[in-house]
Amino acid sequence: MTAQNPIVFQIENLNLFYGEKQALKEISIAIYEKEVTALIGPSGCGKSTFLRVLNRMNDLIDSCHITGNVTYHDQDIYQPKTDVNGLRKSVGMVFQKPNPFPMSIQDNLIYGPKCQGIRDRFLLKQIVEQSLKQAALWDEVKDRLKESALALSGGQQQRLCIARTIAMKPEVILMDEPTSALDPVATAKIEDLISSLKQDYTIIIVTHNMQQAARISDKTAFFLMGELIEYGDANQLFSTPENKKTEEYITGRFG
Amino acid sequence: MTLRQTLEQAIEDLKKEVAKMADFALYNLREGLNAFKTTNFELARQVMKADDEVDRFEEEIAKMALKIIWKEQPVASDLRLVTGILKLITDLERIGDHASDIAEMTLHLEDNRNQRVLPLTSKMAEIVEEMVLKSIQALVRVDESLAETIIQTDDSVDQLFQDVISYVTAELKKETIDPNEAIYVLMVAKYFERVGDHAVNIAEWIIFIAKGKHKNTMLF
Ligand SMILES: Nc1ncnc2c1ncn2[C@@H]1O[C@H](COP(=O)(O)OP(=O)(O)OP(=O)(O)O)[C@@H](O)[C@H]1O
Ligand SMILES: [Mg+2]
Repeated sequence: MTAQNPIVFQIENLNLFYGEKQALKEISIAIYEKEVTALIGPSGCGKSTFLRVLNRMNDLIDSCHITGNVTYHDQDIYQPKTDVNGLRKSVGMVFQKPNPFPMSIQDNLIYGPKCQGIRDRFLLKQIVEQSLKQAALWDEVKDRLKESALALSGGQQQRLCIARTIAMKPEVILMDEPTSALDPVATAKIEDLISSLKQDYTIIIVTHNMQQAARISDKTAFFLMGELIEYGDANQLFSTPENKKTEEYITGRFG
Repeated sequence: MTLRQTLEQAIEDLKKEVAKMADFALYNLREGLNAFKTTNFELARQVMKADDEVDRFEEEIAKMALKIIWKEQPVASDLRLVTGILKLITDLERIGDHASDIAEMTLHLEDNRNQRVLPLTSKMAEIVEEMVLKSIQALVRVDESLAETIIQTDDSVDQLFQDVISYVTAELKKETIDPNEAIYVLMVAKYFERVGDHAVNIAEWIIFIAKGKHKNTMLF
């Protein structure tokens, strides 16, 4: 038994509503530092909604409101004085479809830091190189940094999006089905990347690919119709799940 | 409703095949003892030959299990069942070997004396056969409490084996038993004691299949 990593997010009795409709019900869960936490569950069970709770992306949806507690390093992130931009910088996000900005590869990476007021050209150059290296993309693009990001392959674009998130020096990276639009080779590269990023970042990933969750996650959370049914070590959840619904879902008996 | 008919069918087929293998091994065990009891050389040779069939079962089942693993990538109870079966067929194969060993002992006997097998050995054989039979049932139903009872029975088998040794030793001292016969009776008893151990191993894998725990260690 290894000692438990420190807690990054502590969520207690979280309820989330879109207008009248409740999308998350009494969710209590702790997310641990420098681990990969996978969120699995059938379509519409609330995985993306939950992910967006963690950096307050749901604020952009008018009808959305929540009750319960969401703390990030012991700070309640839903209290009025929360610096939401600061939160979103610390808790970055990568989406299902690669969405590079229509600009050069390097401009994609320095756009965020520039918005934050970083002007030092040497520092910006360093950010470009470091984030590309961390995203395992440097060798493939180092000679074409000024070319359009849109000319990259889908897998490369997704790694660029991860690099762009890393360039903001976050602590947590949220990923919503980051490989669902990619072929097996590009998927394998992203999975390897996730495993190496774990040394420096806390990663929470939504995936519909059960084998992917089993391969890359330390902890896995199974959601069903807005409820957190089971949460635990991936190795336990995929071998000896406690809940019958988890068992049925991961063995493919229902979906 | 089920979404994975191929997987469910493959698992059903796998379980059926293991049950067949176990039935076959148990049948050989009984016939091996019969051959020994009645000094039936013909039957002994048949049982020895039938062991090849047990080995073929083992290979076939291993292939079926590996195919499920690479094609279906089972998890949870499916994974435990398939991997548990991969392990326990080794014990079934060993039971088959011992059935053949017991039959082979017959070939060392010379005449056709009655009461060849001491009642104690017969008693052992009876208990051990029951253990093997229960292990098949426990596997088919994934019944961990039945598996537990098999494990508990093993102490009485070990005790009976000790009794057989004491009895044979005493008879030898009194010179009321033919030394040649004594040796083979003891070996037969030893083989049954080993078969009991393999039934225990199978029971332990059944508990793993049920709970992921093998001899109190979580294997995951
Ligand atoms: N902006 C929104 N307004 C209203 N309802 C929403 C909104 N976004 C999501 N929902 C509803 O909330 C529930 C959870 O949706 P969510 O997108 O979190 O599911 P999901 O688990 O990510 O599904 P998928 O696997 O298909 O991406 C669904 O019933 C969905 O219809
Ligand atoms: Mg989603």
